Amino acid sequence: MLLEITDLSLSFHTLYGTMPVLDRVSLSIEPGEIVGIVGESGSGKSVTAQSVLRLLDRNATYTGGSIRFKGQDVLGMKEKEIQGLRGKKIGMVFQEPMTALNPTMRIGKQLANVIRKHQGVTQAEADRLAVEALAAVQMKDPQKVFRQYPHELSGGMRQRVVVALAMSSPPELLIADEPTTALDVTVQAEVLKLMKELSTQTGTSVMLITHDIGVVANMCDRVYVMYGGTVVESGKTEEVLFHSNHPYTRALIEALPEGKPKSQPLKVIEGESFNARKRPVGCVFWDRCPKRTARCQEKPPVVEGLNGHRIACWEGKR
Amino acid sequence: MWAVIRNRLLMLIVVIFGVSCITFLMSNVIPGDPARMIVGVKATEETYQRVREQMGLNDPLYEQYLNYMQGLLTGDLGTSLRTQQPVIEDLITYFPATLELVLYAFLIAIILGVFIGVLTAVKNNSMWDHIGRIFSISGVSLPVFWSGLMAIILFYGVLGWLPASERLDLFIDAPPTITGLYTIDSLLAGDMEAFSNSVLHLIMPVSILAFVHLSAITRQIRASMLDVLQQDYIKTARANGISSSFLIIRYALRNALMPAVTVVGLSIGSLLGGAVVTETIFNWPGMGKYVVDSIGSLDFPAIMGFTILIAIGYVLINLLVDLLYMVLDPQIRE
Repeated sequence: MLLEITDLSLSFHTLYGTMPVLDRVSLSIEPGEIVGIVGESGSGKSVTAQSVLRLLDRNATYTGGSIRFKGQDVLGMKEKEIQGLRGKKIGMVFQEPMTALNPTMRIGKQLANVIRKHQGVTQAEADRLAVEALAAVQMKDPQKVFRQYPHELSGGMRQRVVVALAMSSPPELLIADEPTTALDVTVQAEVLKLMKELSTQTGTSVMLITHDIGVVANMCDRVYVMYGGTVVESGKTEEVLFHSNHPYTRALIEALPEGKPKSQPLKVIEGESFNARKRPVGCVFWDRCPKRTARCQEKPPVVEGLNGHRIACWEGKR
Repeated sequence: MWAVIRNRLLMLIVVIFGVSCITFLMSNVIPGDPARMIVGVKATEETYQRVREQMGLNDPLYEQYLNYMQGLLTGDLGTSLRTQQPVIEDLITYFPATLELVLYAFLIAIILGVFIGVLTAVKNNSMWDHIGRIFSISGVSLPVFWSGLMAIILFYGVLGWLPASERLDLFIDAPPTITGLYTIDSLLAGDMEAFSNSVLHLIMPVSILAFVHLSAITRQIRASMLDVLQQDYIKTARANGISSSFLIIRYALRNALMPAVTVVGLSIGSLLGGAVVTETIFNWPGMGKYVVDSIGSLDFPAIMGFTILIAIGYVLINLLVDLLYMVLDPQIRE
């Protein structure tokens, strides 16, 4: 097992008191696997991803569970140890390429800094490797990009630079937090294709966070569906997409506009999206669920079905 | 870049015209008669009228102004009524003392201000942050004339540690003039006695003058540093394993400096204003004290000369700030 998150719980300290954000999230990634995490804003998918590299602000407290990367306890690591993990063993790509690069530093310098940090090479060697890293993300003129500043590049090119940063020391795990949300549709496909190719070439596992089920269907071996800081359903991609048993996952899939006549109104999930300030005692989806019963006011059990398909629902059968 | 320099220099002409116009008008509309100041109250009407005629005060206003501007173009700022010396020579005499004061105050304010600003931003809401905040708020809110007098009472009056006036003790000779800055000239001449004495004399006025600007710079750096540390690219760099100290110095500070540079540039104007007050309190023989004395005796040529010089300095410093901005921000360079 490359990454194993077990029963991770996390709270934010705010002006209004302590707010639980993650509630016993469990998730695992095998070497070479591409795993998707889907869910709407506030479902806790980004927080889960940033926890793996311990990138959250000081107001976040881990209240339970563990994160193990190749058996090592990430939450117990010293700052120096975690720095050795970041960008070297685990790379990360963020949502917003326009602001993800230092505006006053040349692209080459930003890459070379990371390469020198992890590979202990000379400046000249780091510069050479930086140009190589730019070539690896299919930049047409890597020498030129090396000397450019972020504002001289388009959004898609910047995101490739961010990918190059994350992949510069080939990591064993790439965490991509909505890497294409801010990009044009055509560029989205290119960046996703690039990540998939790099992952195949280097054997890097990918944790792909997205709210686009279509992307999951195209890219991922397995998928986790998150809602309200919990994993509500997980399993092989085709199992979850075609034989979903959780009412939330089903509602998500039904809300997709693809393959439906234009005249038909889009389906929406009724109710307000999850509010962490009003976390229900029982099932997190309780107030919006079309199938809720009295039982749902208690925490649902995790039901395991075929091929590792799991759902957290009282109605779960498989 | 050349376009910016050219535009700023063109602007300088407009600024000098505007400043000279306003100061000239003001010196003519405020009550007070320089001719009467010179001849005294007991002089006869005849003497008084003769002096007025000599000074050109009976000419129409525009003619007086044109005469003045004509002189300005040739570097002639008129003759001081008080010292009977050409104003330009007086200013050159007093300039090094002011430069020495302002330069050291400015350097201390920038170096310490950036350091404390970064420290309090990184240790946000810690004890250091609170100490820094009390320090900088008191710097911004305590007026120089008050903190200066308090310092004199404490360090000169009570403790007797530091001298409270002039650039050197009475019995110490000034070093031979090379730059006009006593600290540098005495070092160049190898005169350690004069050097240590001039440093002692500088400590209080420089600290008092630096304090205000140090506080302003600290607050600006802290605010922009806090903002930059929240930016996505800091998170990206952190996610790629860049260590905290490298991150703060090489990634965050440069970006945080940009808004601070503007504030520093603008505050140089008030630094010069603060120098006038500081020089008066510490009896410092610089341009500030010169102009205060000139105001006391309605010495209009001296006042105008000083004002125009400050205006030129202000425009040039802001040109420097713009150029510095280009160095810092690659987006503006194009």
